[in-house]
Amino acid sequence: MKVFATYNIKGGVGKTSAAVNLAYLAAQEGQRTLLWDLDPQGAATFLFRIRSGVSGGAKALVRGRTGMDDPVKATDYDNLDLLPADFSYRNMDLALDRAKSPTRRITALLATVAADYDIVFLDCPPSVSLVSESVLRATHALLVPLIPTTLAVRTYDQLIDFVAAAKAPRPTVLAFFSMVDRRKKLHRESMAALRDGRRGIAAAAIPAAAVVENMGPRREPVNVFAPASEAARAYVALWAEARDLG
Amino acid sequence: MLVADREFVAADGVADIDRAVQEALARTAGRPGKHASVLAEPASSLRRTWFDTFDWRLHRAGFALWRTQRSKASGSPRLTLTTRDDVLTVATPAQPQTAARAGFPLDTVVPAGPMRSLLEPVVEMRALLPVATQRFVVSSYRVRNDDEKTVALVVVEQPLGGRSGEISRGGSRVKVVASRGYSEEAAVTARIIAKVSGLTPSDTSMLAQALTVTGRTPGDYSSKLDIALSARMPTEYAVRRIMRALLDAAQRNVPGVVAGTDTEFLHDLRVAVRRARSTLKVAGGALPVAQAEAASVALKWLGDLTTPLRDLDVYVLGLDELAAEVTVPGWNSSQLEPFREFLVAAQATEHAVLVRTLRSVRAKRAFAAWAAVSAGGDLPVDDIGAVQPDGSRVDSVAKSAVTRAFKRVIKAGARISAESPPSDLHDLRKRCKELRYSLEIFGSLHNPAAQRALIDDLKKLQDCLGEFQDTEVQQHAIKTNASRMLAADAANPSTIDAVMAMGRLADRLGERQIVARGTFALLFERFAGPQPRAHLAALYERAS
Repeated sequence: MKVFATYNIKGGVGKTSAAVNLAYLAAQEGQRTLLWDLDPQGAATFLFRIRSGVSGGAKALVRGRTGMDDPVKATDYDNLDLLPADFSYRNMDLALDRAKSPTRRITALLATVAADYDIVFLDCPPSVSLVSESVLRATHALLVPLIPTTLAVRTYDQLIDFVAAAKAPRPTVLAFFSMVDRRKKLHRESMAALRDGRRGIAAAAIPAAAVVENMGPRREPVNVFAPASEAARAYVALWAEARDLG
Repeated sequence: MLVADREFVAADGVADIDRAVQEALARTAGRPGKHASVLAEPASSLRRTWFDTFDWRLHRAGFALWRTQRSKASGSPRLTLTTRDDVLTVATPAQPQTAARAGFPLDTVVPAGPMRSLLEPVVEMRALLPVATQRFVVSSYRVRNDDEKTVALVVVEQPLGGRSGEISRGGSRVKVVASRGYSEEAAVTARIIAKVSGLTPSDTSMLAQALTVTGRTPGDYSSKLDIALSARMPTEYAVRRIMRALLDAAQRNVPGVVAGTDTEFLHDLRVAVRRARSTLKVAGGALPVAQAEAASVALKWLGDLTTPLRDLDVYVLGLDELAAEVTVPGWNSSQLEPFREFLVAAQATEHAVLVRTLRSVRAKRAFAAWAAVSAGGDLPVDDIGAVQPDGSRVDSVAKSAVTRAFKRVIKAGARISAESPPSDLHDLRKRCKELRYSLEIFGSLHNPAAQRALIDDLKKLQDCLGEFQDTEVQQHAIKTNASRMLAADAANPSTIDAVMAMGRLADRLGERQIVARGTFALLFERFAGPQPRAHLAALYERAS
């Protein structure tokens, strides 16, 4: 079982859109895929028309009182299941802190479903916390969306430092540009600046496109309702770069 | 993932079950405690082809594999695999070509990925055969909650009959498939469907229903012997019954051998021949002498006929595993490719020879001689008459055959020392096979627990002797094949590399042979000990 996580310290950069679309693409390839929506806001859960809520909340899940596969729901797509978000995930740090070996806890929980899934996506909340440390240890490939602004370089370097300082095993990092508007000079320059001398940045870039925003009202992956769109093709290209990492 | 929940079948003659289902779902939508809405997907016709191996390995493992080709919808065919607790679906861009060999290697049917990984250990070296095909008109209804989330899928499948392609009046099925995590909602839907007039819960699988057209049933072939004998049967009749069952097994495998569908057809044919030879050896005295002798000669000929191809099959099947065991520095298994090509070419030649010989007059005569000792073996048990006062009963023949074979194993094994030549171990292996076949042939007369235990004891010893003998034969064959390859193409550098690599394989086989020899003494000591003897004694005790 291979674990991917979409993660950035900042919010609103396209983590959930990437997690939803890439998980869908993995499932379409025949991989038994689970998406765990770790963000208490539950955007990925909403996008799959599933209601948030896990019996016993974060505490029961972290302590193992609720089995990992108990709250799992099927999405409307073949081979793709979702472990829904729960508002109590905002306190998952506390639950982890009280558990034994907190940074190994998510790895241990995922091990209980290893026979059922080939791929797991973790859609992480935007923070630097015990949750993100635990995610880093459990993850084989960390997918990091970056909006191409001047701050992107700083954000990226901070994140690389954070991963380097984390306890082993550490994931392979693949950053990708998100919400890209190639008409903007600043975007083009920022992308060039970040790519200059740095490895681990995907060639695929997700455009700032209405179809991505339309995932909200439609509550479907882009690759379902607009498979020929530039954004859908970008997710396909990104998945092609990401699938063999880790 | 979707989890199959409830299935219903429409009574024959019920008209338009699809409309009845559609109306039932529409009528209840929005009512308290029921679904919020139903989304009908466009009806389409589809062809569903089920796959399994000749010996039903998927069915036995609780798997079902089928390919669905929608004729109207765009997109590639989809493969679905259901296991005891999982459902996997995958698109199949490459369709297997028309069945020139009446079967397909797994990797031509199932793309690389989790589905193939689940299937590989079950299917092993066998080909997948299309065991049944059915055409349907399919209507699907997504049963949704307030969030327009699918909580269950209702699928109406109406078979298309004959050449006219019209919907058949019988055999329609309605499935209610629960989405994982929505079992309560799906149960409500199943109750709505259960009330549709003309539907009753189904007690047969889709595959079983599709197979009714072909006259087959899942699991109708197994290489395991299952011959029902009773203790009081006259020996002659019992022998004919065994020979009949073995002849049937052999004849069922011949088409697969001729077509080259997979290597197990030949394996099973050889096993049937060897079991038949053993039967004649231990109980052939109950048959007319001339008949038994003719059959013995014919069976030996059939067995010898198949040996060269089987030896090559074994090499090719085990080559990758053997190559992976070589760990010397600088080892590059790709250097073995010319050897593999040599073996595959030799396989094709031997296969052609075997096919030609199996179609010969001599082969027909051999099978006729086998049929002669099987005649009457398919009579119903009530028609066979009682044992004559001076005639023998099968249970006494079986008991003495098994006991004698056991003693011969012990005697032959006890003679083997560290200095014994390989031929002594080979002879012991033959004695073990005689015991194994005697146990299997007369298996239905034995206490099942004792039979299982004794075969387990014996199998360990047989595996060790098999490893010893196979490594001996394969080392010899590598030397012979290396000489042939050099004689054919010594100037080619890749041939030289291959021959060098084959030397590494021979070394590895030599190491394995030493290990097998070292293990033998311990295994034989155990087999000659009190436990297998106790199992032998318990064979003829009644099951508690």
